[in-house]
Amino acid sequence: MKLLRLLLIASSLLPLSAAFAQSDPAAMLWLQRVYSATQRLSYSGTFVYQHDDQVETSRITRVVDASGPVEKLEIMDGMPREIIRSRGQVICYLPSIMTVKIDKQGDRHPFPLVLPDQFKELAESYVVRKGELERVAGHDCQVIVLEPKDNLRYGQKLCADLATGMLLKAKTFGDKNDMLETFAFTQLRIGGHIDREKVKSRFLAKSKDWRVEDSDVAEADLTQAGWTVRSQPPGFRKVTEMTRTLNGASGVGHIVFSDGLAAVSVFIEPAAARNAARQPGLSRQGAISVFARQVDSHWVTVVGEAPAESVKLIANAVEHRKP
Amino acid sequence: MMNERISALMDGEVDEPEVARDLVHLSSNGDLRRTWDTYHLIGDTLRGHAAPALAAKVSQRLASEPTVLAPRRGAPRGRIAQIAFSAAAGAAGIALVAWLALPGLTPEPQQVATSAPAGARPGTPPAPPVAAVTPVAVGVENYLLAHQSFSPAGAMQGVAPYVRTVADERGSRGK
Repeated sequence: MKLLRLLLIASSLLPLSAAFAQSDPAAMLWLQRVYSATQRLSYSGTFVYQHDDQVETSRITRVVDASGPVEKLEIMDGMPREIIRSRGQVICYLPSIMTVKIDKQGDRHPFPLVLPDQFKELAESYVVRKGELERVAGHDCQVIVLEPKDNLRYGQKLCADLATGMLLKAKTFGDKNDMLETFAFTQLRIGGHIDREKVKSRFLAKSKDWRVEDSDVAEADLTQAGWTVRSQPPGFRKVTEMTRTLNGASGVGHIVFSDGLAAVSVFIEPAAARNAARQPGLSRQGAISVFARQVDSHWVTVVGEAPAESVKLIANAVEHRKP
Repeated sequence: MMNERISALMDGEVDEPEVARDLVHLSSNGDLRRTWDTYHLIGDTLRGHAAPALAAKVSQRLASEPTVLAPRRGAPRGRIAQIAFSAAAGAAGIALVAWLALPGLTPEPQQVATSAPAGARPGTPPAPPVAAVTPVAVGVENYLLAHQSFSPAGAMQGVAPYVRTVADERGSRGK
């Protein structure tokens, strides 16, 4: 009986001890290795993205040479779709709707320039530790676990290539250790020469006649338009804010919050007539939670790789004072 | 006994008395057993359990297959079936052989990875239907596309997480 009571007390203290637990410096170094490998390496491979009841296979190619990195993502299941990322610009080719979507990030891309700060921040909200060695897609890899200190964020189990630090597998889990989504390479070749032709879209010529949706991002101070986010969940801080063109409307407000690992975006759109059918409320896809509500004559949509609770907290803290 | 049946069996969706009968069926039919083995292999590879040599073979197969052109439609299946069918589209070299070997089995159009619509060659997208040209409804993809570049978790994975930002426009919208 005494032992049982002791066990009960011990288990009730567990969450507390997690909150005060320290990250392993060696594991933090591994994280740093992963980020640098992502920036540095050329590779080509196949990965699966698994979430809810879906599995999608994609091919990925990354070439780094004198003219900078270019990445190509080809989705192999369902309708053919391609994404090309280069020099702060992401282009999505969607042949089924004959549309090209362009998201320009310019030079103010926040990663990995803020790494030391980001890591300090991350260690406040997560315990980072090294796990065992595993094998993924024929590569030996080191497991790194990022365990959240509260239930306002998800955990991650990563596996990074022993030889290069390249991330081979990333699993996002919820507070009951349930798997929300997994990215995992099934085949990967790191390094070697990859022809630059391999990172060009095969829709490049054809897409000249397609509809173009450009994000038209511009720096902005949304408080001048009367928008504030009263408070954030602990650990989250504002990273940046801007206006952009979204869903055909220009000047949509976009504010980003992050805890160093997860990010949550707040979008503020005028509630146009064509949005009349929109419903407020919560939805989810894999590790992504979405919460929409109406504020004055605007739709506030909050999107992020965080639990519903966090996304809702942020959405409900959005306020508008007519300027 | 069809492939769907085999995946239902793997998912534990078949009733108890029928399981025994199916297993007898499986053990007496070489083709069915190969399909069963293929599904397990694909499942194991995706879960990272396969023997390295086997996993490498399946992975190579996945890498060397032409891009899947046929759209995916219909209600989602069980988990293993999803994994098996989805991966089978890539590992068509293995899986298609299994289908062809099963007498009287007609695979559903979306599962035939190697037979693109008439007139289309691999590498050529099928002509989009007229309705698909109309502007898309408000979906979560546009928000995700705008959001993705700010995610530090995503930044570790290169361009891979952008897979979330381009949902199968036809599949997710019903048309």
